[in-house]
Amino acid sequence: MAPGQRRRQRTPIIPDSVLGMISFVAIELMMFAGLISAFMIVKGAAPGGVWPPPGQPRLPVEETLLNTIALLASGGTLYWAERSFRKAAAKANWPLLITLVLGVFFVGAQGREWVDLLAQGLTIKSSAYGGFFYLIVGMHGLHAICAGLALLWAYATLRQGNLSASGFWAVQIFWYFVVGLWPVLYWLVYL
Amino acid sequence: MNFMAIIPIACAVCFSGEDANRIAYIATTGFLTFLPLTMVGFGLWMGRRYIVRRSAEIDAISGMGPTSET
Repeated sequence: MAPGQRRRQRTPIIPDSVLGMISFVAIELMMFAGLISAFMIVKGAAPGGVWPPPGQPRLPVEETLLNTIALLASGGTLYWAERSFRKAAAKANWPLLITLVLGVFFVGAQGREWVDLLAQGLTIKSSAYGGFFYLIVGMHGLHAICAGLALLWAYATLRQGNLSASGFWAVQIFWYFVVGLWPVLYWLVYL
Repeated sequence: MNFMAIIPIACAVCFSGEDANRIAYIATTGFLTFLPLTMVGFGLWMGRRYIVRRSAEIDAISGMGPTSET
């Protein structure tokens, strides 16, 4: 560096953690797009256009609607947490905890639904219907669990007073992805 | 007969005979084509927006006094 020159301050467009999360979400979005596409084609090829196939258990549409509402509400509480975080980090404690509880409720209710469906004979091997259901909804559930763990990390870090804005932003992107994707899956798979 | 040409009925979509299947195939092909392009386009648009905003900020700072960067 020549004398008199100062190192130019480089400001990243977005923090690394956020960029990493956006990349991850984009990749996962393509994976779900592929699964949805395969599901739509198989659904379209159903004999006589009858879907779900005859003899297969029906999915609990009403119960899952309750889960859907809970998950959408968690998106609202996370937005509330973000707004509170901007004012004062400590104010985000409660809304973040509520988000976490709603997320645990969603995952728990989905797990209970799976137990019921397995008891009714719908397994991943029972038909293409069962295979796609467990694959698509299961992948979403796996993401919900991982995003829930990220929320738990954010909550624990917030309680310690160490949660950075960029870290919280990354966790929000992950959770909003889980929340935003679910209504699409619910509409395609359940309805 | 073994040497006669036959129609290769390999594609489940083309030969299923279900309109819903063909529509789903065309729709999902479009979806899978345009989704990544949309995401890349959105990323470029966000980057451009940021650069334009930063340039305006730097211009404003430069106009007020001596530049802080050489």
